[in-house]
Amino acid sequence: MNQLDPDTWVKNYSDYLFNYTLSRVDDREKAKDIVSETFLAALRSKDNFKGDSTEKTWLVAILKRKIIDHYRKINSKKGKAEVKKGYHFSEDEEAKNALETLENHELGMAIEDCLGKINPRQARIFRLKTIQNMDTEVVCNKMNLTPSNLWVNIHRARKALTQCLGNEWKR
Amino acid sequence: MEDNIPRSCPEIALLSEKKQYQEANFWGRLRIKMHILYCERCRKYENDNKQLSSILSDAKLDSLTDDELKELEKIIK
Repeated sequence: MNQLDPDTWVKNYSDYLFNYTLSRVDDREKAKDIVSETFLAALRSKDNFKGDSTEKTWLVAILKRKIIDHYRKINSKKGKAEVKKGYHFSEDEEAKNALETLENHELGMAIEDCLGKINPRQARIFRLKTIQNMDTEVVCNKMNLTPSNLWVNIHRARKALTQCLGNEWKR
Repeated sequence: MEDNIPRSCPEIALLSEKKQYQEANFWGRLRIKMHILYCERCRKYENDNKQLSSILSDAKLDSLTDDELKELEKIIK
């Protein structure tokens, strides 16, 4: 039986939920709001958690509802469907771009899944260096590391990530 | 790192990481090039590493900053 541990939610699931939201709501600030609304809604309904699913699955289910709510609000404000203007792609091109975007979103979530499985400190160092593009010196100061330790941590994270992703995503 | 591999392989692996972030200097890049000519294991690692960099760039992931994480912690406490 799975149990909830709200104290670890931000640390363990924020980046996953945030990227999940960003792939559906293309606005960083809005995505942050939706993630915080998700955590609050989860806290409010934590007594309803039956333990059948994992904490993460349960949070994602709440997040999905929050994303739907977000689009409902937008649509009710507009009152009508958006009409596409300035159309200049051919249908083929547009379908190809949409497919690529979808594949990249799936890829992003697969990477997030794997980052959730590796050593949390290594994952954090990897995120700072790779996703936030921080300078080596800044990451070293922040995480209290020597440069050579940083590269060992990056190496372990990248190796674990490659193993976790397997061959499926090789292009 | 793993046992039973030539002593220089772990160093090449770290140089390969630096290379992915454009932080390997000319001599480092040359060492990798020469080493992977004869070391199949490191050649594979270097190729996998390049692929990983490429998919990481395609995935366009974002990450919350420490301040944003603190903000979130505050909201739910």
